[in-house]
Amino acid sequence: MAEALLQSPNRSLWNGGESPFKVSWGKLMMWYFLVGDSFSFATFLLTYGTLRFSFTEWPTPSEVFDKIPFIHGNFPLVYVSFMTFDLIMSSVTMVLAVHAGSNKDRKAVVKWMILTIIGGIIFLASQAWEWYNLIVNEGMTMSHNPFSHQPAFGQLFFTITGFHGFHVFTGVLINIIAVSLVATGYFDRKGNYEFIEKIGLYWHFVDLVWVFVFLAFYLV
Amino acid sequence: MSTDSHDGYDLVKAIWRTFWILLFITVFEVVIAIYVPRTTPGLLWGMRVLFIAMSLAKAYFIVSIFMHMKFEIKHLAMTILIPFCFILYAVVMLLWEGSSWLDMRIAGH
Repeated sequence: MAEALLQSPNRSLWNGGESPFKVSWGKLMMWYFLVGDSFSFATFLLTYGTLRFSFTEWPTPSEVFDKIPFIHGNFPLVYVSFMTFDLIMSSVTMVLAVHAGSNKDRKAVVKWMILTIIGGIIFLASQAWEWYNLIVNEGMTMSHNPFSHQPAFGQLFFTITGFHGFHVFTGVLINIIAVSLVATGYFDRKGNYEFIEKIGLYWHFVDLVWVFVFLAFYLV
Repeated sequence: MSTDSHDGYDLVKAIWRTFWILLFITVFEVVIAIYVPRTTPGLLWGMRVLFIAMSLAKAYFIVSIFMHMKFEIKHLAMTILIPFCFILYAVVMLLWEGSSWLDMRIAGH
């Protein structure tokens, strides 16, 4: 923006003929979709915060979430920390895929996208196991809280992690579609890999929501 | 439209550096959540403020580096970030509400 002013002092980005934000319509609309989706998740998390704050007792997260698949014993918050690491890692591979796309390096894009998809599938499998363990082994459901007296505990947990998990699921699906398109050379023919950038934004949003879900349910 | 042409700025290095920062913050948060006792209310609320601040720091790194916001036009960044002030307002209002419900519960209503 500074160099535009230096070249012609009376020219502003808002004179028409170009995007004043220097982004494509598709990328801008993805950003605004994410703002709207953020408000949806904010609503859920605010409901959780308000209700939890109004109760005199609430289960301690490190005592409830302390199981690991296949290994007996208590490991407070370990598995959910692994899930956080997995999602952060998949965000890194996603942004490296976007970077490879901007360099038009098709093979690298495919490689990093496949790693991102694997990260997403590992997260979904982990979340499914977490649900299975809580419902079947601990007896925590939408109507019963075995740790304290509020059924809201299960209701809030399953609703919010369910919505988040659904976003991860749709993200993995669209990533699979995208990597298939990349492999056929579709974006080389098109001339740019901006599609990967846009779904990259969605994937980072999914990671970002998890940061706050993790904060709300497992940390505070 | 390539947004990765920044003179002298090594984006790949910044990405990996951000990864290590996020990992370090997360490990730090988890260690505190597991090992610090939750008996004294002052310590508990201090921990919660710390967790919220660290999560906001993680959000800053994810949005600015991974989602590339740092390199976008500042006005674009503003149109996306300013609506979150409404969420901040909602947080204040709803925690106030929750606190009032807690008082009512304790008083026996």
